[in-house]
Amino acid sequence: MAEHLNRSKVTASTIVPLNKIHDRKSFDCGKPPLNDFLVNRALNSPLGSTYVLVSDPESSEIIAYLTLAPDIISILNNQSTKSLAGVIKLEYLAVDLKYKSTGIGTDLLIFIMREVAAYSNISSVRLLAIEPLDKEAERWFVGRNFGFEVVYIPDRCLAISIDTILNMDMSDEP
Amino acid sequence: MSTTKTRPSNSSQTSTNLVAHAVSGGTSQKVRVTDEQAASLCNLVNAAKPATPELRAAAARARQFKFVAR
Repeated sequence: MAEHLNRSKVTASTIVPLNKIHDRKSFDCGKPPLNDFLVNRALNSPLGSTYVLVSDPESSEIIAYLTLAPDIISILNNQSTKSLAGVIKLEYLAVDLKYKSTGIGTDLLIFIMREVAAYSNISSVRLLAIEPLDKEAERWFVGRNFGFEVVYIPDRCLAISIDTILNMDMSDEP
Repeated sequence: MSTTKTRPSNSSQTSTNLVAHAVSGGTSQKVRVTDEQAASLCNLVNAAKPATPELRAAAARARQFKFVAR
C-alpha cells in the first residue's frame, strides 16, 4: 500500500518537460490508462506535450504529470464562419499514489490555469478544457467548485474561460 | 434539451451550428452540435464570470511551482 505523505512534507517544486531520464515505469496513479499513456506514448504523442512534476530538475522520480494540447474551435453557420476561440486542452493530469491527498493535484490545476491564462496574452486562447478520463475524475474536477462548465467541443468537456481564471487572482478591494 | 444534431433546413432562424475542431496532430473534423450546445459554448467564451470563492482560496494557498523548460 502506498505511503501517503503530508502536504507539508512534499518537496515537489519543479515542472519540466518529460524526457527519457524520467522513471516512467515506476509511476502509478492507480489508473491503468494514465500509467500506460505515460510509459508508452507520452514521449512522442501527437496528443500534446507532457510535463512532469519532480522534486528538483535532476530528479528522475515523477510525482505527477500533465499533458496539454492546443486546439482551435469555431462556431460556423450557413452564412458565415466565425473563429470563436483557441482552447488549451488538459488531456491528462495524474498524481502518483504516494502523493495522493497532499493537494498536489489541486495545486497543479491552479498552476495550469495560471500558465494558460498567461499564454492567452500572446494567443487567441480563451478556454481551458478538460476531458475527464472517467466519472471519478469528473467528480474530482467538478468537486473543486472552480467554475468548470460542461460544453461540447465537440466531445463533452469541462471548460472554464480565461477571463474567469484571470479573476481568481484579482483582489476584491476596489 | 434537444438531442437532435441537425436543424430543420427550412428554418431561417435556426441555422446549422457546427463546431470545427482542429486537433494538434494536423487532422480536423467538423461536428454538428445543437443550437443549445453552441450557445452554451459562446456564453462560456464571451461572458466573464467572477471566480468562485473556492477557486480564489485554492489560488491563494497553492504551492508555487517552478517551470524549467530545458
